[in-house]
Amino acid sequence: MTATTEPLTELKCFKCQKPAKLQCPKCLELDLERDHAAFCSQQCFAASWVDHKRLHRPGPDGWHYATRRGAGRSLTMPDFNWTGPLRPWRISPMRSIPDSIPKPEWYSTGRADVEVSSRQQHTPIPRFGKAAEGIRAACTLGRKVLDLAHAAVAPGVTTDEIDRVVHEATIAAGAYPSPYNYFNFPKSVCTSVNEIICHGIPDRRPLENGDIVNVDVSVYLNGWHGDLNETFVVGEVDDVSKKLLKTTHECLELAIAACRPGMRYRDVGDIITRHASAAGLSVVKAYCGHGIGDLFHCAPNVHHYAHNKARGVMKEGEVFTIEPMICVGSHRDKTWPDGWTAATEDGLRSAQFEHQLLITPQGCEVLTARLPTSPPLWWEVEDASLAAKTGQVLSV
Amino acid sequence: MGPTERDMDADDEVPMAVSLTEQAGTTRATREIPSYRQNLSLDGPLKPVPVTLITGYLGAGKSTLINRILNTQHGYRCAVLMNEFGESADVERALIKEPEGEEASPLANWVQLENGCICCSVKNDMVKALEALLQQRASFDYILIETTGLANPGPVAAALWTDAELEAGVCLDAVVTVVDARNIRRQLADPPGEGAEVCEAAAQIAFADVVLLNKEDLVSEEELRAAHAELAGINGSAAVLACARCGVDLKYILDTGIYSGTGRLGVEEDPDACRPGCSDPCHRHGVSHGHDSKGQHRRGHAPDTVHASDIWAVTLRCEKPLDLRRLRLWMDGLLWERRSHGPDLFRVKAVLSLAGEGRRHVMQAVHDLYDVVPAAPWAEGEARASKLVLIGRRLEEGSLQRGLDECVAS
Repeated sequence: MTATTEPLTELKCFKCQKPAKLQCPKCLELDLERDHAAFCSQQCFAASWVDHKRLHRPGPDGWHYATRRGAGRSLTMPDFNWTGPLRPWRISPMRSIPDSIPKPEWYSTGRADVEVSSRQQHTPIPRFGKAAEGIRAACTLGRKVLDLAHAAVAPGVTTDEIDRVVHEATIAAGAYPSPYNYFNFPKSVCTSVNEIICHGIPDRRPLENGDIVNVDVSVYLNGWHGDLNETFVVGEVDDVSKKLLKTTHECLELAIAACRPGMRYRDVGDIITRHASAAGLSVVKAYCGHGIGDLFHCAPNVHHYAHNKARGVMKEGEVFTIEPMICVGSHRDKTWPDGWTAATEDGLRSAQFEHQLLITPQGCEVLTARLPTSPPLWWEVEDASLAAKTGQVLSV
Repeated sequence: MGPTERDMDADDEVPMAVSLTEQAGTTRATREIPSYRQNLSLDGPLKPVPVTLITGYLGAGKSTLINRILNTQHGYRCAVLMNEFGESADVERALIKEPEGEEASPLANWVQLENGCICCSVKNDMVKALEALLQQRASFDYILIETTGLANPGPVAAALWTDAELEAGVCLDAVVTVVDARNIRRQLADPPGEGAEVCEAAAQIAFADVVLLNKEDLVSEEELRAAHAELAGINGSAAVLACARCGVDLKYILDTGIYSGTGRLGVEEDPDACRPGCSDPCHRHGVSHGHDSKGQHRRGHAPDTVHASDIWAVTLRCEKPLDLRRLRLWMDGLLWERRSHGPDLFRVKAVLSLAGEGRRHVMQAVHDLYDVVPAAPWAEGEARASKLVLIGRRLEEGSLQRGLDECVAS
């Protein structure tokens, strides 16, 4: 696979930026990034050799394919029966996190033993007072970081660049990007393009006009996690994708509207599935919403499919996410060789929206709610331009 | 020079750069996008591979049963998992046994057991490990899990009872408990083991769908009858099959459909209705009796029989149609809000007559999961009534019956 979108004639010499005519033969043999291998002359190539040859081995400085759930790197793209047009691209070296940032248990080990063995995997802890404030603050930060990522989305921008924006914004606020090294996840945010349902790993692939991309941000601030995601359009997208995004968002809104003390967690799936099915779309069953607080993932399980056996009744103070993943075609997923990326089995597109909620006496508080400054989602853009044309004021 | 040094030598010299237009010798060119129809499962949901959980004390005869299953021609190719369980399905200690082989090897050698990441993934580790096993060895179409020292099969059974909607590769088919007829009364009288809340033998029987009352050839008639009585007191709805060396017809054990609404629940039959000498093993030929809150027996019972365990079964009935929503609220409370003095439910099996429904409905509850599914339609003129069997501790028939009566449709 040629790893660059630039046509051959426009490649620049890696050293001096003049038009390139030659390439490193080792890189050609290993099928590495073309634009790291292009040179204008043997002289530039020879001058770059000492640094360049490091790319021929997997190492912490190079861009490689993720393997073994992020614990490994490969120079070559794995063999796989890809379900759609998308392929993995190489991922950048792991970013650094300053010592001053408080870190969760998985930062150094990649494992979450405390979380996995916690009582909270069985029984949620309701949050009030200081705890609720702490979670609220984490969610607000998560919202701001997601909005920054949204603003960065454009054709030609790589998902690695989105990761950089998220990583730096999170660190700047004194928080830790929760996905970073969670079971060896190699990046600070999940970016899921087109047929990817969730857990896409940011890489070197530039977003293309017509893509849809979900950005899933989680932050760990002062010991509390905030988790949210939205799916964005890149440039101009087709009507099928627009309908997919809008319906998915509506599924989430309808589910949230029903959340109140006494509501059964198992009923959330009935609401979502009814709305998705009515639109001819399917609901992913393999991934679910989850409790969250001082742990990243804990009880309750919030399934998005109908007729599930989830235990539990919503109680005041309980904090959890609802994050439906809705698909144009089949709901079934197939995991990529990197061990994380979940693709639809038929290669058709999937969208997701997620909010983190706190149950209140009357209903629920959407902790990750959109701000007036949040960049508009596709239908908000169209509503706004329509309003501008007709001179109407639309109620928000 | 070793290989690494040779490599480094080669790397020290700058190779000649080649033209940009040159193609690689071994083409790892753009792979043709495969026809993704090949990836798709067949139309419609696949039938999950049934899983039978086999419990029982050491020495009761579990291995004998498994060997019988493996060596009988029944058309299934069985994978056998042996496990040293704690309270949860601990995949890391799972061992899998080749049908032909003697030794059991770690499951981890067979499947790639990823470090469990909950990460909003719906299937628990045991289900995922079993699915991975089936992907690698597609020839298996049945899974037997033999547990040793499992104090409480409830959580494991619940973990395997996947939602039908989830289209998981595996689903619980039945819990089969092998009981040693010679020792069961003594085992039921044993106090709970270290760290356990209940008597292990009683819990294993409470969760059973099928009980093999084994070694009948080694006990007297009277001992056998007493054992039957003990079992009936704890779990009135399990099919009890007395046998020697686990010699039973496997149709009672494999692919029973008990959790999918198609199988026999053991709730419908009224033991008083069968004739003397009836040999249908699914009829409860032990004594049926009710209990009040102190475990005292009320009716139809030999006065000298004393129950050893604190787990027993209660049967509730209702002649009027039930309101499903109220019934579910009642079940939610019973199963999810456990108090130290209130009822502690292990299992529920019920046939339900629901308001506004032309079919009977079947309810199963295991540990803290339950489900109501439609089953066979009521026949013309058939008397429609609900019958529930509840198994657990501190079950007080009066208050439970009142709870059910409040679920009647108005």
